Amino acid sequence: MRVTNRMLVNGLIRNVHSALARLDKKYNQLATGHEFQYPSDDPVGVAQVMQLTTSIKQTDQYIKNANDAILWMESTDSAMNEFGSVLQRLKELSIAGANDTLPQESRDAQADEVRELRNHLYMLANSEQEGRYLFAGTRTMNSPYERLADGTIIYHGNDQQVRVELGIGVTMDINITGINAFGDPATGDIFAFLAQLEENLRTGNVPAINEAVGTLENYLDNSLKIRSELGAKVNRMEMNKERLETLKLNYKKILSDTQDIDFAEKVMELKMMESVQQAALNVGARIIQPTLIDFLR
Amino acid sequence: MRSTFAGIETAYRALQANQLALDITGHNIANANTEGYSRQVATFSATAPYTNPAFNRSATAGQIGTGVEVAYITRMRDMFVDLQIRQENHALGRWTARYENLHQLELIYNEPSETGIADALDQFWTALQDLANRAENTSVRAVVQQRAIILTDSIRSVYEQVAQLQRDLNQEITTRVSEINALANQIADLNEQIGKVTSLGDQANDLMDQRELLVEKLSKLTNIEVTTDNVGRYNITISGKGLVYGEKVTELYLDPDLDRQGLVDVKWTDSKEKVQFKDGSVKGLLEVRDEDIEIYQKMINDMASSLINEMNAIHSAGYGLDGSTGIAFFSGSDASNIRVNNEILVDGRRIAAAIGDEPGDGQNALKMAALLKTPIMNAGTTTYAAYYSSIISRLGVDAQKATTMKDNQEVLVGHLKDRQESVAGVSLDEEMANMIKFQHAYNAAARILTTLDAVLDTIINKMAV
Repeated sequence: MRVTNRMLVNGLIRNVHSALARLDKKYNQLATGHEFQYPSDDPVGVAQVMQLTTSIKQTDQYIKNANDAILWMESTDSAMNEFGSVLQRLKELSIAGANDTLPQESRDAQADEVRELRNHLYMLANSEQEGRYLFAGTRTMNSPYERLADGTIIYHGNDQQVRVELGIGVTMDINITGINAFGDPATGDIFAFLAQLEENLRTGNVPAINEAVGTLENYLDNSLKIRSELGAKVNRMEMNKERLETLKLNYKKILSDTQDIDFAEKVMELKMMESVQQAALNVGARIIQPTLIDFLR
Repeated sequence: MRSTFAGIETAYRALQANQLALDITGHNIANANTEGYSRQVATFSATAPYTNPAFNRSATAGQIGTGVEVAYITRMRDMFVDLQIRQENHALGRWTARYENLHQLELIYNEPSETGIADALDQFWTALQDLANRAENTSVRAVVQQRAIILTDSIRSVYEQVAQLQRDLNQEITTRVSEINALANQIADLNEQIGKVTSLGDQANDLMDQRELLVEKLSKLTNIEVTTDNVGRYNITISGKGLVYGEKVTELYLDPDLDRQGLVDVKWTDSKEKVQFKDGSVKGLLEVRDEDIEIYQKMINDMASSLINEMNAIHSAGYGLDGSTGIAFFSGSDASNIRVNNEILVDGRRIAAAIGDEPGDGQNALKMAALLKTPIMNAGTTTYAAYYSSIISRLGVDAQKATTMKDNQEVLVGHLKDRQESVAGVSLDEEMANMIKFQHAYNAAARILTTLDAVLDTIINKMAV
């Protein structure tokens, strides 16, 4: 084949260009730390990365949801715990008050304590978590229990469930409504009951006080049942959260395997390409060599 | 008997021929770097010999040589390689155009990134989840507003940029078509000159080089078929319809497409029919403008309108914090005009997070979030995110193919050009060697003349009669 100077120069330019283009790609990969920049670099890989990125964000959100729900349920649980203690004390008072031989002054003192405990319960029932009332059903913006001027306490909440999504399509009810915890205001809740108990103590209505012990035990049973339910739910949430954390870790690993470069490998490749580039330039220096013209005098 | 002075004429011819050869060498060197130039070679040929007139066979030895002439100046060129270059140029033009514009599309979609539509969708979903958890919270509602704005802005911006690319492509097609017309006219002009030269029996070497260069450029723009007539003029057709016929040109013109606002069709000035481009960069540009972009626009439109309809259906059934209901979440009908409904932007409390009219109820927000994870597209088999990522994959595959094809064609055309260069290119070493050769031949011929002069001097002046 006949070879001309221009062929050599063209070949050199082509080689230097392609060496530079490969170098550019490697530089980009090293600078970004990613195997590909554009969908065309690896269409399948890019689709996978997009999918994984979405999955990771989704998992993050579900972990956030779980944390929120756990916090909410733990706050509810501690309120219920205190409610339990109050009920215990009320039971003790009722048992003592049901004693026929007890002087009325003592019952009056007990009635005073019941009144205070009722006030305390009123406060408990209006517990909130970041400005959201725990026992209001879904009417979370306003305090669910209101004390009227005559001392009666009325319920403003509803019986709706606050629901949290644990995973796609999986939800959990996390709230305990005032009706669940403190009784249905329509048929008489704990506040009405305590008002009555106070009244009975003041009037020394022993049979009624005696009956109250049973009712208090029912409330106590109910509160324990609610707490064990909450505990089970928190447990489930924690397990779910752990599973999500593992899942997220897996996603991140696959994402890294898909899009991140092997740094050592890329640096090696870069070094090789740099030497190819140098060789191309070196060859260039030789191509632009003396021609016959230089020897003709 | 031969003339006494015949040798002078022979030597003179040698001087002339070698001088012409030196001129050609000079022309070659001068054009060593001229694009499209084919080296020229002086083809020497012995002039018609002189036969001794005799009644019978002559007593002298046969025919006597009369010297040399440059019979013709040959243009060194491989016509078959030219044909191949043209053919491969068609594909190179087409795939280069596709590569450049599909890559542009990739840049517009800007995936994978933290700022594309995919991310906006994810963020919007996250915001809806937060809203479900804290439906009564106005700052959470503000986040939903902002994320929804980002989502709609990204969709509209991608749509608008793709539409802009389509308009740019239209503009480029316009430019390319006028380029085709200009090239066709230049080729026709050269055809005319070449035809005149050829009919006189000469070879129009340099004009043919210029014309070949133009044809090569033209072959990158469109598919062409080239035939040569009996006086060396090119007839050029595009898919069988004549563009250049000898000295005549049938130009192409741009006719506004009635169905598609702002876009043009390329037509023949004589028949008013659409030009059937099969290859070349104009074909590539038309493909991207009329096929690829239409598909990507349609896909993003389908996604946007489905999102608008589905989201609005859920949203308008729910209740806002202020008790409002029946309000659409998005306004608009497709990707070109999707926006967050102004009523919602004015007051975030109108975002219908609740199914019932209760502040802490986030059930409707959950439903809206769930919508983004529900297979809806492709007849209920694909989620929005998966649908969007299928757009990106498709674009990736298309762009990847274009890149590979373009690279392949570049290598192929480069190789063919090397082959042509091997035949047609000027080698300075070769020209130098030739120069020395001709110089020596010239010197030697001059020497013959001097010797003949001395011989004649002897005969004419020194011989005593």
